Amino acid sequence: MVTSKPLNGHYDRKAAQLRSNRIKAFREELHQLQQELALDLPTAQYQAIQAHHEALLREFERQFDVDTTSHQQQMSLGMRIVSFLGALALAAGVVFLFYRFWGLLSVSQQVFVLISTPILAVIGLEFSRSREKHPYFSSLIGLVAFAAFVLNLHVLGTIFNITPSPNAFLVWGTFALLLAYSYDLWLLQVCGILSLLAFLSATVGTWNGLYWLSFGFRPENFLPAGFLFFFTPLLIPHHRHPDFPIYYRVFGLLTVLLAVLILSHNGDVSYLRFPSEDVEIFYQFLGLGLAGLTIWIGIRWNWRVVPNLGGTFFVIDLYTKFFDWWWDWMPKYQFFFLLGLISLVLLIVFQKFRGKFLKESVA
Amino acid sequence: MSWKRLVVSIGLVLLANAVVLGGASLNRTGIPQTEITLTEREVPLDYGVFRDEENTGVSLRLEWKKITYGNPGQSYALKWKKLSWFDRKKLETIGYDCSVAPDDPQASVYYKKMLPKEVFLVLEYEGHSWNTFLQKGEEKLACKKKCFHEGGHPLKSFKWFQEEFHEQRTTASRLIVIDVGQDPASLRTRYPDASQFLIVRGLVQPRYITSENTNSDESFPPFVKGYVKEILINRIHVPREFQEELKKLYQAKHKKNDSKRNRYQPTEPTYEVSLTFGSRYEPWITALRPLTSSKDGLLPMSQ
Repeated sequence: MVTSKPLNGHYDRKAAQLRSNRIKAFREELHQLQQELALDLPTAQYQAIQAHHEALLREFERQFDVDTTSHQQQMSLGMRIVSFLGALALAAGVVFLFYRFWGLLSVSQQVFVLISTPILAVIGLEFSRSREKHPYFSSLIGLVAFAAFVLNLHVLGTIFNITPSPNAFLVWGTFALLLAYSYDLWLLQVCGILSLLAFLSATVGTWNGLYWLSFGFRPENFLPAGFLFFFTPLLIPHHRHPDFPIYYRVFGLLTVLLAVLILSHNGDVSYLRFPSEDVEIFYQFLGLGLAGLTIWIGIRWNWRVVPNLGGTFFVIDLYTKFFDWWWDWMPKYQFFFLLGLISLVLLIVFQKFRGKFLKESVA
Repeated sequence: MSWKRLVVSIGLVLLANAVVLGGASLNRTGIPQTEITLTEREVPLDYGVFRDEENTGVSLRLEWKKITYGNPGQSYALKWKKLSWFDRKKLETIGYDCSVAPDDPQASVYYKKMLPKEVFLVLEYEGHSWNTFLQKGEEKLACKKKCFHEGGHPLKSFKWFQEEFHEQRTTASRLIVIDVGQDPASLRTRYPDASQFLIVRGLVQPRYITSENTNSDESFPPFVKGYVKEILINRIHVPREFQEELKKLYQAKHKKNDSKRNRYQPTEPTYEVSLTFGSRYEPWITALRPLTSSKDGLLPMSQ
């Protein structure tokens, strides 16, 4: 008789949830096969598999609080959405609360409140995270801590009339990433990425002699930071945070592709000292090339979401160019039929590629 | 519970605050760069103060004069060119590459791509530049009056300028930007009187002027000039100890005037503020005093 073995301790929450999903899928597929093929597994083996799976699922629930049913999964998704919206609302509430009453406080009282708020929030975060398996409340408190720290430095700058500096973004980004990695919070990771994107882009701008706050006027300032974040997971392995690489890739890619898209439509905002039409043509080709390369890279290395983003921007780049070329003179019905026809051609091309990948995987 | 991650997170918060507060303290210790007393004309209340319930903070705006008058009869663009000390040569001293001649075919693209740069500005308070402004304004007013009487200008145009100049003369800021540079120490050497010349951080940018983009009737060759975009620290926080006095003055002013005042009638300044700029050229308020005013605080309308 085969006995089920206890958990061997090699699971984290994400691995446990994936295994739980596979068990559920296995059970559903087995049930389907039993009906279609009248499949009949030997009773002893069937019971052993069932017992092993039950033990695993019980242990996963106990240790990681994973979702073992579809109802639980739906509920968890709802809780994540509520946690996110609640975090935004609380963070905004903290900011508005401070602004409502800060004029009634002396400078020393203002400084005390500003410094103690993020510290208290971090203590609350530590307390919450050590007690919950799902970071629902921790995400909420973590975002409040980040918002309180942003408010802290921003208002200190206002009170003491300090010259604005891009270093604030570096500090905010570092704080957010510190919390993200310490408490495994993707929301704080995103805050950290956005803050550091601003800092790096502003720094690149100052290297070109710009005032730092003008970095947004030159989209090329965002390109180095975008590429850096896209390749960060390759440079720094994330074994303990397997959810994090996707956010680096998504935000890095969005930054680069959006910057190129803007430049392909408005050459005036480029650093390049050529006529704006020539600059736009250059960035149009670059945008299409980068989008295509992104699709290939995403499929080649099996990176989730990356091919989808690349495909989306490929289509946006193409369609916006068609709009520029044809909208003014072509009858509208012809324009949309032509877009539809091009979409059909793209579908046929992608289908051929898909078939090629299928053959490769079978081989 | 992990004490290590708690300590590191809190440590970062404390370190960041220590750096910020240390910098603010450094600014306020040592010999101040400027100590100057300005009136409500130069440092009026910031927008929404004492009216916005969502924000009880109080700050003053640092206002500087942006309007200039040329010689009577001079075109708008030529007035800019002749009055402007902020020419290509000056732009080059602050790091802009102005080697492309304004009449070069590539000049438009070249200069339009230039973005703002952070520099130090010298603002003169109620000095020679202010007197020049008044003199030019009087000359222009006399010219417009003469043109009106001779039938060349409509009454509306003359009246509009008369009211604008009256407002500028009686209530607008008397701070005028007279120089820019990248080294504040050398600017202070050139303008040593710290009670009359403010040195502050600001943003400047080149501007490419052609007869097309100024809607001028006269045709003239294109030229390049600099212009001051903004003063970087143009909001000055008012500490709590001065807020009560400021609020009383604000409420008294609006109570006195609302029933009597013509919407366009200028009002007297009601307070003066002593500002100190520290070693990092960041200001703070050291004193705030009410100014005695006429019974209703209103200034006479222009004649």
